[in-house]
Amino acid sequence: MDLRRIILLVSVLGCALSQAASSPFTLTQLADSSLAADSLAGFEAVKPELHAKFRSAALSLKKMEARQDGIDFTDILKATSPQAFAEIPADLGKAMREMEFIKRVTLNELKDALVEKGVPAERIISLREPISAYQMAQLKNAYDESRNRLFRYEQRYGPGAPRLNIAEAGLAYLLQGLYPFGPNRKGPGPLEPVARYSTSWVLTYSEELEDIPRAFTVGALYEFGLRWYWYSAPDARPGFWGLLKPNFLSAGYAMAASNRPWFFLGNDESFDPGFFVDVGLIKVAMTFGDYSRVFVGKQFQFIPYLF
Amino acid sequence: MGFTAQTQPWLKRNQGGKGEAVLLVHGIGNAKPGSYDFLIPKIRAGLGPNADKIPIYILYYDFINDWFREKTQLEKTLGDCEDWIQHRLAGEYGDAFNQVVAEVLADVIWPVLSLAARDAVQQAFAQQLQRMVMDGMAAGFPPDFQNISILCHSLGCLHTYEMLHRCVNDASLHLHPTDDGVRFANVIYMASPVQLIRSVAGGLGPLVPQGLACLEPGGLACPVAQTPGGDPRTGVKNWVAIAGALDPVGGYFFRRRLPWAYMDVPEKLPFGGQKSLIDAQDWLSVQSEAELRLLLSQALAQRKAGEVPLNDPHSWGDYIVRHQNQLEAWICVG
Repeated sequence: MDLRRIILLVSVLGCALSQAASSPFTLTQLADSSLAADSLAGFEAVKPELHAKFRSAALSLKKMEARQDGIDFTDILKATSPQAFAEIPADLGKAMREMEFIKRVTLNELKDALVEKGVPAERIISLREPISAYQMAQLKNAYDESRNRLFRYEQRYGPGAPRLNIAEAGLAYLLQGLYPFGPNRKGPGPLEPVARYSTSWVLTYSEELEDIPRAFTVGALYEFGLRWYWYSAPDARPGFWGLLKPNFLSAGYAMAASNRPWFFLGNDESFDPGFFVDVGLIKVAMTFGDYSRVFVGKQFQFIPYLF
Repeated sequence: MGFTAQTQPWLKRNQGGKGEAVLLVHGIGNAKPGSYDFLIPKIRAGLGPNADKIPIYILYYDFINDWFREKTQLEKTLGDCEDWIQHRLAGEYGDAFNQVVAEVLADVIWPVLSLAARDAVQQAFAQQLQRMVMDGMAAGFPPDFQNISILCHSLGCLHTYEMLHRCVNDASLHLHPTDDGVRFANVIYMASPVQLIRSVAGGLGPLVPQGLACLEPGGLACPVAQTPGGDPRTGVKNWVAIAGALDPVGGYFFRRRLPWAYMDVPEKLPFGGQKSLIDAQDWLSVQSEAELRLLLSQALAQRKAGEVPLNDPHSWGDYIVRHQNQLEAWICVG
């Protein structure tokens, strides 16, 4: 079962791996070089307990590789990305922990012991080549992840992103601590509050007015809902359908004045409830009451700072 | 994509490279790529014979503040706030001081009050650091053999302080002092408002979302991580804080230290404490009595007030020039 999952994982990642500068090192080489540094430093005498754990981790890595037919450790590394974490077979998870432990000891206590022993920096660096390759691959992953996160922020806050009015900014501030609204480990959350009074609607159909041209008039609606963002990766190449897919969609509850569509203060007037949907920059709303009405609009505001 | 981390080649060991690099993090203002290029010759002038061997990077992050300003359409509101603050303080301390305080307050609104703005700047900062570490590794220097120094100014000090703590607290960045061997050789804070922000943001209480390292109840601190053997290691080897005696952003007001505004990170093992340097500053750019005499005689001869140039106590360039001859000792490996 484990082997099948490994094959699946490797095949899914195969394309990415072939493009990345793949490391020539294997788990055995990483373990062997660590053990060589260990004996050169006389680590056993300096930190006996840590040495025992370190040695055991290195030997465990070697055994693991023998059992799993020589896995290049960059495969394990690729699996460290949070999205793939749930897919990691138990042994790969264990290998990762062992590698992390070996890396940490190598960078700290083992390095100190080597320096103490007078081993030149060049020799230390050359002994640690597999660890450095592992670190380089980790950094590349982390760099890509930071890039992805910032790109998601750009899609939500950067040029071309929907703007917030004061009420929405206030709501966003209050909700930022909640998972779907505020930042998480992938960057910004997917949801944003919508709370606006928009005067830029056009009434296109009203059941009350049978003559459609007469129905065309300016409309105003209160809207309360949520906006959902679909974030893409910075280097993603969307296909034809991908280009049509909007970056965000908003939907929620809409209210319009019952008697006239173009202005609604909400004092003692009666209102018609309904719903609205924004897909990208296109807005559609429908209200129900004595008469059904359909509005369309575009995502912009005639009067700045009015919400 | 609005941001690309700078990448530069480092000299390899056999080319005379010693794994040194410098990152500049700017402060308040509308900084665009290129805005701080004028600092590079000033820094190189202080690095002596090693000047050309050391890559100097600059992190420009102000575009993220622009995103949030435009997203929330709060420019006008912020402008009103600045006007109000300036108006309130005008009677007491004078316009120049008010301007500085108002700008600081307005610029820190995003990183202090918005989790998203804070995180976005840190993602750009992390990318730049990751890229630097990778550049160093490509030249044959593993992270624990690199000597990266950060020179930050004004609000950049807050972002740097927060980023250093994030490096310790967020393993996914792979910039950890002990897990990844990324320990900064020097962090040189110039006119740091970190304590000022701690005081102001601390006063706002629950209005400030959690997660700011500078608001930790234990006070300001150098980030520390444990090795697998349990030894504590600091994320920064040499922590320097430079303030000007006339620079209120750095916690000094007319040569008087304001304890609630001056960043003073106390010694707490394994951190040996910050090196504090206070620059004696003058408002007037008159270097000697003879120069003053000349200005006065010119004024008398022309029968009008002479033009005496004023110093900007917050100028990053001036901070660097004043400490040019210490840069080599701090940044260059012996």
